[in-house]
Amino acid sequence: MGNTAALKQADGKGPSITGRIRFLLDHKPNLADPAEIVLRDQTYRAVFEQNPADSIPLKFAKGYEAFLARKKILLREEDVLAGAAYQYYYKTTLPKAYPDAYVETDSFPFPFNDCSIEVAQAKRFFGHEDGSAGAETLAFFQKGVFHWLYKHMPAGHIISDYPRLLNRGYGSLRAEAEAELGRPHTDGEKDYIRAALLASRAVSGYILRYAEEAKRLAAGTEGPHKRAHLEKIAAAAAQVSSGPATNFFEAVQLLWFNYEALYAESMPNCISAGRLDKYLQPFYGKDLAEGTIDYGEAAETIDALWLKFADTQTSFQNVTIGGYDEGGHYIANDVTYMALQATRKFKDEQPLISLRYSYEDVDDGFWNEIVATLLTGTGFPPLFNDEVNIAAKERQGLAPGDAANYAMVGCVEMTGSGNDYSDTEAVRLNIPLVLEFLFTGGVQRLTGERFPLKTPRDLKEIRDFGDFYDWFRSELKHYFLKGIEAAEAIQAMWGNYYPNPFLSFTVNDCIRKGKDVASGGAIYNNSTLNGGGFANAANSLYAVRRAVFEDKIATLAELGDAMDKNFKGYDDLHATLLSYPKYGNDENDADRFVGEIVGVMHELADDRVNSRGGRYGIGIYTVSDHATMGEYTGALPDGRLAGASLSNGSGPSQGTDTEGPTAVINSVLGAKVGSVGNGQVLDLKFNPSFLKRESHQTALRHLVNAYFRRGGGQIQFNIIGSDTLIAAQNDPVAYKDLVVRVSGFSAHFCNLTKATQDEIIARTEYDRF
Amino acid sequence: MTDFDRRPARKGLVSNIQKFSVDDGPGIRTTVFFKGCNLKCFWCHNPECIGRDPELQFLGNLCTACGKCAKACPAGAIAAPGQIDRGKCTVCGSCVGACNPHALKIVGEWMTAGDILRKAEKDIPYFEESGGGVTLSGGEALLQTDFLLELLIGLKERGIHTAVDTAACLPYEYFEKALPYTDVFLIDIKLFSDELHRKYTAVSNVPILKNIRALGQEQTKIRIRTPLIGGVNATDGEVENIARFVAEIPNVELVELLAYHSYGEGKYESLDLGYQLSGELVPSAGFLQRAESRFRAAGVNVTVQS
Repeated sequence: MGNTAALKQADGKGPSITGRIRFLLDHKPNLADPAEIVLRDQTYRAVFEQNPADSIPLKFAKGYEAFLARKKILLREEDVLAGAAYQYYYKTTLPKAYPDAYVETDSFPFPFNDCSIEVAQAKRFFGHEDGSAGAETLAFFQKGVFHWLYKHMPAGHIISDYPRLLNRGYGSLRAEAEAELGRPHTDGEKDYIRAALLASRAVSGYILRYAEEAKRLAAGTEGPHKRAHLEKIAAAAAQVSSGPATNFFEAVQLLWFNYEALYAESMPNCISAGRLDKYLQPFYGKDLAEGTIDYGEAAETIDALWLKFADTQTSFQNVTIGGYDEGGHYIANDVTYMALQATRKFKDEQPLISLRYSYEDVDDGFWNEIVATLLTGTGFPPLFNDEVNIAAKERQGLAPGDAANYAMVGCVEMTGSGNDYSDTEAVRLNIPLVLEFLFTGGVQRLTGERFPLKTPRDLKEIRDFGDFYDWFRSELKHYFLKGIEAAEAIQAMWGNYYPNPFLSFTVNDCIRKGKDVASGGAIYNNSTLNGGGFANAANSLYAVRRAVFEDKIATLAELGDAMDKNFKGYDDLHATLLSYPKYGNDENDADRFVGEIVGVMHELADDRVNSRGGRYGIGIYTVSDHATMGEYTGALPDGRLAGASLSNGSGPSQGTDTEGPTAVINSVLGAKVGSVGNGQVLDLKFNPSFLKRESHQTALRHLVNAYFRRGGGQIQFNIIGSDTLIAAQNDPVAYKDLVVRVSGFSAHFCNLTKATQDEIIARTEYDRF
Repeated sequence: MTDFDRRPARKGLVSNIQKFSVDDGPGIRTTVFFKGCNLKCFWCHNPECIGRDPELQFLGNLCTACGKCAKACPAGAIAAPGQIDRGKCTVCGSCVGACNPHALKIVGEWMTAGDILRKAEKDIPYFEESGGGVTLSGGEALLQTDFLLELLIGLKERGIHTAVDTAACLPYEYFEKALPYTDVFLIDIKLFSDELHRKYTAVSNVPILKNIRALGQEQTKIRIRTPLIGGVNATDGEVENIARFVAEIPNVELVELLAYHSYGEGKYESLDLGYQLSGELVPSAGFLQRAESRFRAAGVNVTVQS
């Protein structure tokens, strides 16, 4: 492909950073300023009070305008890029608490496990009386979220249409919106378009503040280089405040300004950058052809962008790189390399990068770049299978060109780029907890909370496994449906009570429709259905079948009692349950149940249309929810103890896959989880020493290719650090599957002597970068 | 040979099947470890594969000292957890069944070729992707000749690439039987000095070198593997001699120099076996580099695993 980036790597020393980037890295600004939160809060509140007759979108746009005019901006003499996104994430109050009474608080009103405000607002929006079916469902959901029967994370998870923005600029988009006002629309739609126009003008004005600030700083700067760069920033900001980006630097600068503006408007929740390498490459290519830029200078700009992403901390901003374009050409360009290298240089958890992989078209040079990045131990980049995922998005209703442009938001969720609002984290069900409820009559063991079953039954009357299994599947649907219903109501409330006119201005086709992204304004308005704990549920179903109905070593009631007691006094039963075959070892016993649980989700999701006319996509990834959900789940029939983590994504339960990665992959493929629309995670563990040898890197590539060729959707690599090895040394039972591949052979870590373990730990520590 | 006379019909004694093996021949492989060996190398990292019967293995760091094993043993061979009278133990497995934390296990399972083929077949996509296949290792795979042949033929019927990993201390007829079904032989040259070979492996290397020379005339591929152990064979003289010998074998596609590692030492303890090596066993990086250059200078394709 003739990448200059490949040449940059020829010395084998890996990418370096410039002195300016080193300075920025060593002098990170403090962006957690509580005063900004209060200012934002009070500004919005004052605007709402001054404009009582305005529509809600207009109030939000005006509040946004007033805030952007007053909020702090930060530009330093040494900055490579202008801009600084303050960390509102944990401390947002207004506008999201509107219209409830103002309580000055530092707390984030929508934490993951508390949807009480959303539920109260949804009840208000739909006029649900207490005791009505709608109110009951919402109350059920609220309690479920609080106790991790469900995970719910509102809003965000969206990508602005960056190619359109960078190539046309806000001004041109505004002209289009103005024209839209002349077309037939309802008053409400026109009002929404006006609100969006107002919000976008506010952003243009905000960017001009940076232009002014850069000019002011330049005037007072002694050093000619710094002054020249500040003048460059001033000119770029002035240009992109309303105009298109005319070069690479302006494109990156506009990308960041847009990001910063989105952060100031809404809860900055997994707002993602889309296919950055695809839309930045034309700017880079043009500059390169004109001789105004070289690889190093562009890489410095990307590095500066990466540091800005990192400054915003844990807000899951995903950058997608690699992958096919609409014409079927695989993209791995210089900007792709810059992105991978930036991730490698900073080893930060932000931004997340996701790599759209192709077993056909990833060449050796690009593969080496991927491996070099994997070796940093950050787990980046996860690999997504383009051959499967593009088709999965088409099945979910995306037009072929839009499906080809899928990009990741949040963790691994695949959405369209700049045209999709799929509320990807609206509902995740703790599947093993449903199994627990069958034994407890709908009571959560560890909290005593009641989550009534659809059909309570006496365990004694269940005569065979088929009966038990049918009951489980029926109850699984019941809890999923409750979640779907509640999430739909909350979703509808968001668009009406908490609109994001600026975000909507940047997402197609909100302006053409005159609708907020959350109200069906996007082209694709899908919903999602996520699950957690697949392996534990599957292993438990198999264990119930074996222990109760085949080996008959316990009745259902006895098994329930053992679970109640966390297997205390049931040592032999516990050992037997643990010894039954488990998902992830390429045996059909437990594996089939994972596939069948996913099948239940397909039954629920495939033909369902949401209230915004969108479709449902299934998600088989768990972020870190498997650990938290585990804390709320009692002992399970698979032998897992109360409080222990549930299984991660589509992978096996921790410590139960003993046959290695090919067996795990075969099991995952057998469960047919690869083609789900909202994303799937398969996490494999490797230790860094293993991946140092080239032949092992090649084996890893073949492993990925064989998996993807047969329909795998995603794979990521968890590079094991010495902390894990020490934990394994102390708790060998929990880590009995931990294989270290250090030298010429693999070994189960826990079967090695202490001295050898210590040697490997020391070696792993040494291997850290 | 009484051990093998007791063998159930057409079954082989296998100690382990390791999938995703990436250092036992080309590509991603499934390695089948045959139990039973006619060498006794001081540094053997698979000592559980030496004996020709199933054996009881005790993994001390998993033991909770509950004492159920002692109670379960019908032969009175377990005085207390971890204290096994190997003379009395009949390897009946009663203690293994009683051991909830799986600290006790039996190494060595009598398996049919069909059992193994079914397992191997599952990884065909990985073999095809990587140019890998199945490696029959050990122990000494060639000792269980009939079983080995049945397996090799089964693998070839399924189009699976085959490797036989052998110490090559057997009459050449063994190789002749395996040759039609073996794509590559992985053969150890542990020491060039016969005197030292006898000392450290209990056998002479004369038949081994002779077999390698003979295989050099056949239509097959050979990979030579040499463990380099400080104080044993990590000397310039040994390296020189082995390199010169190998350079004359036309179908050697690769020499793999394997630096000593200690990862097998724990297994000795678990089998109540003594470990006979001590001192600085891991060769220096400088020496490994020198050894690699020496082989390269002899025109041999070489890799070093450290």
